[in-house]
Amino acid sequence: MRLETITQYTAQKMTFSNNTPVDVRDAYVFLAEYAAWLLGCGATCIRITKNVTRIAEAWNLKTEITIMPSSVHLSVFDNDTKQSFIYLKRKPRTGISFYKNTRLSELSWAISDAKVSFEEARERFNKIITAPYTNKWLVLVLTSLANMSFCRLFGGDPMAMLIVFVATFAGFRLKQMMLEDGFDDRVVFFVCSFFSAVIGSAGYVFNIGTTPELAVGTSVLYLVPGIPYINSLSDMLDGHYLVSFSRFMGAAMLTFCLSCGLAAGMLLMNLKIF
Amino acid sequence: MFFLEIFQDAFFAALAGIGFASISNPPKQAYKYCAFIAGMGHATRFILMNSSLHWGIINASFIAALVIGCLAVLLSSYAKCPPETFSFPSLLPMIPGIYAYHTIEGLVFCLSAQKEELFNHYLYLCTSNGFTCSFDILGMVLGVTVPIFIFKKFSFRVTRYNN
Amino acid sequence: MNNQVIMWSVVVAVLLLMFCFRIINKFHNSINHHNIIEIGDDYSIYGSEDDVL
Repeated sequence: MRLETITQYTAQKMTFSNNTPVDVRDAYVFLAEYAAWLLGCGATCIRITKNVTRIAEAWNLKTEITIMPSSVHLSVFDNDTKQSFIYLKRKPRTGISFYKNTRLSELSWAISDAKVSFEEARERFNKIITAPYTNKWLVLVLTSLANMSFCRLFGGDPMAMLIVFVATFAGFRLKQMMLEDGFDDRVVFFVCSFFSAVIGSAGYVFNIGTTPELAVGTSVLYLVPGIPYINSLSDMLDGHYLVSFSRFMGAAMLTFCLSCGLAAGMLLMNLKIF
Repeated sequence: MFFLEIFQDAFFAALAGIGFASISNPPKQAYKYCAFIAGMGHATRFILMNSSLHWGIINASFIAALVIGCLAVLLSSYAKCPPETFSFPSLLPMIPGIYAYHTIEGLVFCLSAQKEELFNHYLYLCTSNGFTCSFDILGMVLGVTVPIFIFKKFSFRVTRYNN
Repeated sequence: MNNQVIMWSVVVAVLLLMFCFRIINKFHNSINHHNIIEIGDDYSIYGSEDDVL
């Protein structure tokens, strides 16, 4: 009976210009999912809190948001029934996507400027989260070119650049394959950096080029997880120390795994470049 | 001659910026801004370090990162994307790999050294390169994030009028 | 130096074998319409884009 009272009462709280009543609990669930997806696609905590607060104000919802490393908690206190609810949503397992980040931020502005109704917002949200990623072959080629440019920026000669291109191409393709098959991230990083390092050592093995040490050193740099480090500092500047530390440790763990792979590759090839 | 070197540096940095941006799935319009900002940032660092100014790497990287951060906030209203979208990938070409490698090398040899003198030598290598590397990266990340916070009102409004 | 060349060739051969095995695996699956070997199949919307970079 209690539940019905709540449903009856709170359903009145949200109406739009077309006067269709919306159960406020659906709105909270939507908000929790929204925040969780923003967290999952690599947004900084300050962006998540600003967007969620913006939507909550637009819909006249009073909520407190807590962002944890792998979940989002939305707590609501109903003044009339003196009950509190917590909507908890785990961070979805998804790759970093600034496209989703941008579109979700746009959605929050659209809601705030009252340009979309609740149903339309939910539809747009579903369309955003199922949007396709960048073409993986394009990413493969672009990353290999990028790592090749890295080699040039550190002063490598054209032969070293070519070796790095091939090493990155093979290593990144392997990484895509292993992630698709569901291997653990750290194992993937270790294995990919091992193979990239070995292929990158072709300069020493076959005496190609004048800067073989740069080829080995640069061949694994495509694996370094740069975005979590930068997001971690952003979160620290805004006071979300827990999420900041967790992002930093995750990235540090992956960096450690890739250095182990590099070390293993160098040990196997018996290189003494340092 | 120097201008050719700067242009080459900027070109390869732009290429690296686009490539690493593609890994984080940005919206399509962000790529050209990524390239431009990455090129500008890296060229700034190149000029500061290799012209008659001869700045150290930490200071030069910090200034270059400030340039990247400010450009990113400025251009984000044209690109209609949050400034992080192109400022983060533009930082990646500036990461100092060599210092990181020397740090780990120093650490490993430190562990396998028996005599105090050798140990001290490798400890010195490890920590001096480690400090340079950490402060360099810290400086760069600060340089990029601080403009976003200073222009807070601006950075969080750029996607408003896309609808 | 010869050892190095042998080691390098072995590692590259292993990598190429891994690629070939997967291509043959996928081809085989698409012919038989079975997807039991692909353990990551449930993550079809996430796929190879589970990048943590």
